This record gives sequence, structure tokens and C-alpha cells, in this order.
Amino acid sequence: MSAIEVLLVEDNLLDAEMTLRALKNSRVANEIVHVKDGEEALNWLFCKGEYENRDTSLKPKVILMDLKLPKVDGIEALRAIRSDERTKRLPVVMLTSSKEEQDIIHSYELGVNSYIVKPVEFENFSRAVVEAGHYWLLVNEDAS
Amino acid sequence: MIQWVPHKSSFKRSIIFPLLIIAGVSLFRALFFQSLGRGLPYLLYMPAVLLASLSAGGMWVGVLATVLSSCLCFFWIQEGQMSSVEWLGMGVFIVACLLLSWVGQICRDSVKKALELQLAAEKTSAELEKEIVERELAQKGLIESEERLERAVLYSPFPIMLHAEDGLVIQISNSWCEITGYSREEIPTTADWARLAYGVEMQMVKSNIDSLYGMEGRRYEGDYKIRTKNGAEIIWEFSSASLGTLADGRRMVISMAMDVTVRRANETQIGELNLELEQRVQARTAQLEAANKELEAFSYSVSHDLRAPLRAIDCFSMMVIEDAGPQLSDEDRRHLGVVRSETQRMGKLIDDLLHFSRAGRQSLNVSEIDMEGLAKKVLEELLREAPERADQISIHPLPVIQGDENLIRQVWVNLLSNALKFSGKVEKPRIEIFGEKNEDGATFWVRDNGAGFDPRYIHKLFGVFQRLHSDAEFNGTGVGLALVQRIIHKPGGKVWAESELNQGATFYFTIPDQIPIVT
Repeated sequence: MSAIEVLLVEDNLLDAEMTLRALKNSRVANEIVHVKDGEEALNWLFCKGEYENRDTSLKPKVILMDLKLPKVDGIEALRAIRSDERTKRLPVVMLTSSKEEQDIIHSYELGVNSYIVKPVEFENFSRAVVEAGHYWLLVNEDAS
Repeated sequence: MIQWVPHKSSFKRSIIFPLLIIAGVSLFRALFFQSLGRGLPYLLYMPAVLLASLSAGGMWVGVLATVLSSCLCFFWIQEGQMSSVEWLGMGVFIVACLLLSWVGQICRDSVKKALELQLAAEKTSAELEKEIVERELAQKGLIESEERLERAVLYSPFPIMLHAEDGLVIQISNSWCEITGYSREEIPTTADWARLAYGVEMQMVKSNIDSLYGMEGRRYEGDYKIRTKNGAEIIWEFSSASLGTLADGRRMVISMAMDVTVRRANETQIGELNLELEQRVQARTAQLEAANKELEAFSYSVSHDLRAPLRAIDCFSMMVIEDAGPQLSDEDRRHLGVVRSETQRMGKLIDDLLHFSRAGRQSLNVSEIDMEGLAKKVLEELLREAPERADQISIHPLPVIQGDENLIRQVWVNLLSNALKFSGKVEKPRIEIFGEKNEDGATFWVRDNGAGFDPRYIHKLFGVFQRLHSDAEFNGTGVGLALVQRIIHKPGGKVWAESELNQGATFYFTIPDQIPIVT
């Protein structure tokens, strides 16, 4: 079993900080890798670029990903993840501010496992992140 | 002129008249017997027999008179003695009387015949006279009708030409000459006309004209460009019809034209204007589409980018409260609480605004809606947090309508939550929901006995972010009714409200039967 539990793809540092805090405070996950855009996420997953030399045995149990990201956005990253043999079974949860129908439909078409709209209120936001983490890390049985 | 007309013989007349004459003569004889002496009875009776035969009925009346006369003569002579000579005289008398009767008959017949001939002649002459008058009238009528026909062509408001197959122009209207400027003398034949009016196209036009003589009935020939005498170009729309043949066997055709120069110019202009309009519409549509896209991009960025900082403000305020809890004064906590509640309110505003903008842009997904069922469902959801209020609300029977269920649901949500909210503070809240079908759709209304609003500000009621109550009284973003209005207006419905301050309010909306196609 890998030590990495969550790959968080989030360009907004404040959102990332809040997410990390919620996950850690609730003791759902401790081992979290945070990358800041889609390209970095794909590099990390496929051990490319700056992550060329990372330990390839490390695999996240769930990917929490924002939709709107610099360089490679969430939709494109999701497509890349789903079309690669090594990653296509990884649970991916969209964690985003967008309630736009087209984003939701598009994500599901590409095989997202969950789509969570980030609430504005702290309590609701924390609850959403923690519940998602709890489900995918502790309740759900993964394919690996 | 006095005419003797033999009477028609009737049986009565043929008996009575000879009797009377014979009686008259006998009386005369009796009266003047003394002076006349024994002789003469025959002489007296013979004229009587002739008279009877002539006037009363011819031969047979004569015979009757003869018999009577003979008897009377016999009587008169019987006074003396009938000698053999007298018997002979009597025989001669009878023969003479019969002859006279016959003569009477012949006279009668001749007169009759003559009269008949005269009558016939008179009749024939009257008929002839009548016929002559009639012929004269017909002749006059014919001339008049010919003149009329000629005038009809001559003064016709439309250009008319009558022409024969040998190319001769038989008649031409004044309008033809006036419009084109060519005199009748200049166009004695259709070839002359083609040469003057059509220039280089004359051959083609001439062959078109020549092809007309073989047709039957009418033919629409369409537009022809004509060069007038003063060099202008006009457009005539021609139609021709066969007029049969002339006395000499030449076929004749009538050609009529309508001057459509101005009309065609207008049509061309209209066409150009239409094209321009269409281009303008396309340009505007493109602009509108661009604006819509921009708006969409804007809403997208609002929904995504504006929420992130709000979330950060809220979350980091909370983090301060969590992390520095014990060190904070009550006042500090209250301040941070205000930061958080205002942040959340802004989040709600953004959500509502997005909702509002999206409601206007979505295309309608029309289906049949059971309004009563929908209102009940919405109410059930709204009452989940206050189930005790269920008794205060009554839903009257509501008709079924055609509409977009998601949008109409939003209308009920907003109107019912408003009614619940604004009647929440009165002693005995009461909410009633009505609906009725009418001519062109359905009308619904929600009545509450709550706070109502000041009718002076009714114009602000349906505006975005317009509120008629302070947040302290009743919370809200001021988007709800604007959203209702936008949803109802989209398929062509109406929404309005009636209220007095503190007297409750009634909100009405209509849904038309025919949902116009919104693209």
C-alpha cells in the first residue's frame, strides 16, 4: 500500500490550504501531495519533467482536482488520466467552484467519479472536503 | 270607311232573320194589298229572299226564306184561283229565289274572302313595318356597339394593340401612343413597333409577336423593356389573347400592356432593402450571439472566480476563530461573525444572480405540467423546515398548463417562499393558492395576509436587487421576484401584484396556451 493518499490539484493556494487543513484536522488524510496545475499533476502521475526521479511506486488513492487550472485545465487532465492505462482506474473527484451544467456534464462524460461544488461557507466547505476524503479513502475499495 | 262585314251565321240568326224579313214583307203586302192588287207577291218576296241570304247566312237561309215566301205567295194567290200559268209562275219564282239565295251565298263568300285578303294584307304590311323598324334599331345598335368598342380600345387606360398576322396594326389605344411617344403613323405594323421600341432585340420580339397568332385563348408574356421615343426605358408587362379571324381570314390578336416601370423599380428597391435588412439582422444576430457568449463567459467567471475569494474570506475568518479562539474578545468574535455572514450573503447574491441570468438564456423545454401537483410538491419542500405551517395554507384546484417545469417550479418556489416569509410575523397567517383556465391560457395567484408592500413602490417590485423591506425585517437578496418575472415573461405571460401595506399581498401570473418559439 502506497503512502500517498491524496493528490490535490489546486492552483488557488488559499483553497489548497483550506482543503489540506480540513483533511488533516479531520484526520482523514495526512499524506497529501499538492500540485498547482494540470501539467504538474500529469507530470507527477506519469513521473515526467520535474518528477522524473520520484518513486514510481507511489500512487494516490484519490485525486482531488480543481476544474479551472492554468496550463492544462481539469477537463484536459482528466482526459489524460482516463486515457492512460496506468491511471485510468484512479478515482478522480472534481472539486470546483463551477456549477455550470456544461462543466458537470463534460466531467461525467470523461469519467469523473464525483463532482463537488465548493461551498462558500467554511463549515459546508470543510464538510464537503472531509466527506469526499472519507468516502474515497476509507469507505471505497479501490481497484488496485 | 264603313265596311259591311257579313255576320257569322249562327243557327238562331239563320232562322229568326228570314222569318222577320218575310213577316215584314208579308205585313207590307197586307197593308198595301188594296193599292198593289193581286199581283206582285213574287216581286216583293224576291228581294226579301236575297236580303235574307245575303245578310243572315247564305244559301240555306235563302232556301228557308224561299220556302216561306212560296207558302205565303201561295197563300196570297190562293185568294183567287191558281191557274196553270200561275203554277208555272210559282215554279219560276221558286227557281229564281233559289238562284237569288245562291247569288247571296256567292256574294257573302266573296265579300268574306275579300275581307280576309284585306286583313291578311294589312297584317303583313304591319309586320313588315315592324321589321323595318327593328332592323333600323339593330343597325343603329350595331353602329353604336362598334363605336363603343372602338372607344374602349381608343381610350383604354392600359395600352392596347389589335394586330393581324400579316403584321398590320389594326387599332391602337391612345395610352399606347402617349406613353411611348410614338404616333399611330409611326407604327403601322408590328415590325415597325418592334424596330422602334426594342432596338437590337427587335428580331426576338418580332418572332414572339408572330408566335401569338397560332395560340388559342390567352397568353401571359411577361415584362418587356421598351425604348420610348424620347429615349427613356420603360417596362411593360404584356398579355395577349386571340381574337379569332377577320372577314378575310387573317388571324387577329389583342395585346395589352401594363406600365410596371415604377413598380419594378420599387420591387428592386424593396429587394435591396430586404437584403440590407437581412444583412443587418445577421450582423445584429452575430453581435447578439457574441454578447451572449461574452455574458456566458462572464457568468462562468463570476461563478468560479468570485466565489473563490469569498470562500477564502469566510474560511480564514473561521480559522482565526478556531485557532485564536481563547484570545479573542467577544467583540472580536462578533466582528469576525459579521465578516462571515456578509461573505455568505454575498455568496447567496452571486448564486441568485447567476440563476437569474441563466433563466433568461436557457431555451424552453415545454411539457404538460400538473400545476396543483407541482405547487403541492414545492410547498412540501418549503415546509420541511416549518411543518407546523401546513395548516395555514390551502391550495384550490389548479389547471394543467404547458410550460417548462423546471422554470415554473422556480416560480412557485419564489412566490410561495415569499408568501411564507412575509406572512410569518402575523398572528394568524393565511396563504391561499388559486388558479383558473381562461381563453388564452391560465391565471394563477397566491394570496397571503402578511406584511404586504406599499403600492407606491410597486414599480420596484420586480426589479433585480430591489427590496421593499429591510433585511432586518425580512431577509432576502431581491432577486426572487425578478426571476419570477423573467421566467413568466419568456413565454409571453404576465405577472403583477396587488397589495396594501400590512394588508397582505396577492401575486398573479399568467401562462399563455401558445408558447412562442424562442430561439
